Amino acid sequence: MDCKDIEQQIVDYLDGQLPVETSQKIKSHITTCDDCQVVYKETKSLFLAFSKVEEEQPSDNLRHEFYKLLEEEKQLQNDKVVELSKPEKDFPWKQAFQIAASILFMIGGYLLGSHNSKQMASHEISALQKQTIELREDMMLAMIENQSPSKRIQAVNFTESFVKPDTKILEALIQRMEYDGNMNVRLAAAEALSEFPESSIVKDAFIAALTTQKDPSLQIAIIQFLVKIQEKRAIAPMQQLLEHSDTPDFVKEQVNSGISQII
Amino acid sequence: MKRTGIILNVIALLSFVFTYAQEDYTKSLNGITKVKIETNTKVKIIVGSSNELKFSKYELDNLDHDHDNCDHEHDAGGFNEKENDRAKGLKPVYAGGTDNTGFGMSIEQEGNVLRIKDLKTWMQRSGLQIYLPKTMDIHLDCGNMGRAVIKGFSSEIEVNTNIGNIDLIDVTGPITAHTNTGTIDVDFASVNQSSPITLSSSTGVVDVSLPANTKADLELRSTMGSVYTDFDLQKPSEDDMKVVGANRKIESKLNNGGVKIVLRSSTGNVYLRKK
Repeated sequence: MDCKDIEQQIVDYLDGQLPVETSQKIKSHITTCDDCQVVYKETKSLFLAFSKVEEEQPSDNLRHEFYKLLEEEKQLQNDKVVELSKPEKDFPWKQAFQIAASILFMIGGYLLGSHNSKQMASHEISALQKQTIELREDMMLAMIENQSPSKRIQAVNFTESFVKPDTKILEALIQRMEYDGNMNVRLAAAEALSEFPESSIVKDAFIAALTTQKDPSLQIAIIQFLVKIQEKRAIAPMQQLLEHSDTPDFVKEQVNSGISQII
Repeated sequence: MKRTGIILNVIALLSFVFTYAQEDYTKSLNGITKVKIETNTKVKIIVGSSNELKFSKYELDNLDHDHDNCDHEHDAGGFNEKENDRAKGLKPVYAGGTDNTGFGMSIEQEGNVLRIKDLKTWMQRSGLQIYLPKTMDIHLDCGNMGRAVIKGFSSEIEVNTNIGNIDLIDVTGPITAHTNTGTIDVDFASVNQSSPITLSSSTGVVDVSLPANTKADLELRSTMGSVYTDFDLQKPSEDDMKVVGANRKIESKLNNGGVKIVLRSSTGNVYLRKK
């Protein structure tokens, strides 16, 4: 064992952490070697000096300050926790409001859109309906001059679908009732016209027709209409019919029962 | 008395000879779609073989339900012919127009309509038989005394009479017929769906036979008479409320509905038969 090894192990030797054999060898070497004797003494005095230095104790003040600081820090930490946990616990009004608003916007948009489209659709439908009626009216006016009586009757029947027909239509029907060459067309026109009892031109036409029409079927249709609408102006021409010798008996019967029904 | 008898016999013989001598009148119907006939006598219109109009003497056959007195007709015709005998070299002149057929008829063409006007009165002519193509539209006006028999047409028919009966046999419509006191008998072969059929009589009977499978919107009404049928009439659904006036009207769909068929009589009955 040379001096270099001793020098390296001297600290462990002083601490008494080396095996007995090695510490014996080091002890005998130190007593023989002057250099190592010096190293040993110096190291030993250094260690002594270390052990002599008192361990510094922190003051109570420091302790107090530290805990205070800790508490403060804790407090700070706690505050943060509170801030974080609060929105979780409480109802998230803002978010809810945002969601509600967006839902409202959506529904509103949908309603507005559907309302608009509905309005547009109903507008379109009514426009279409108007168009069909106009078409039917045009068709009716075109067909009513047809040379075929069957087609003219068909035209007259078109008016069944008219709720409030144009004056043009009513006038065309009245003309058919008064002047059509075919009896059946005149009858069909009279029946079609009797669907519009609120129109004054229709009433006037029926009262006029009562004195001009000679066909018994048409006379009966006219009488029945005027009785139904309780037209008092019809009484005078009806009495005239009774006086006419060429009025058939069964028409007179209708006239009599009709007059008694107009109160 | 004896003398008048002889004269009558001679008249009858003459009329016989003359009516046979009288030639049929024919006219081509190129470009014509409708024939309008105005007359005052009984008319029978039947389907001819070609695209032409033909007049001939009225022949009684099984289409005539009530056989009129034949002698009377011949007498009337004979009287007429005797007048012609005296009028040799003269032309007959009629109040209603010019005879351009030699048959006592005036014929005019207006566009695709041929107007035929009978210039003879019901006293002068008793019966007229007309042949027309099957698809020719017919408008027949029988005046005050005429009656009508029309058979076998698939075209539109319009007939008006005052007291005469209207017999339509083996027709399809559209038909528009009206009579004041006569009976209307119609036997449909099938029913054309294109436009309405209207049959009306003021005081007479309306009697119609339809094929069982006919599709139609029926309207049957009789103000003072009754309506009879062997069809099962479907009542219109309740929610389809309509204002029903004093007129008693029966509305029904046949085989789910189709062309409108109106049968109407003021005081007569209405009969609708299934065949």
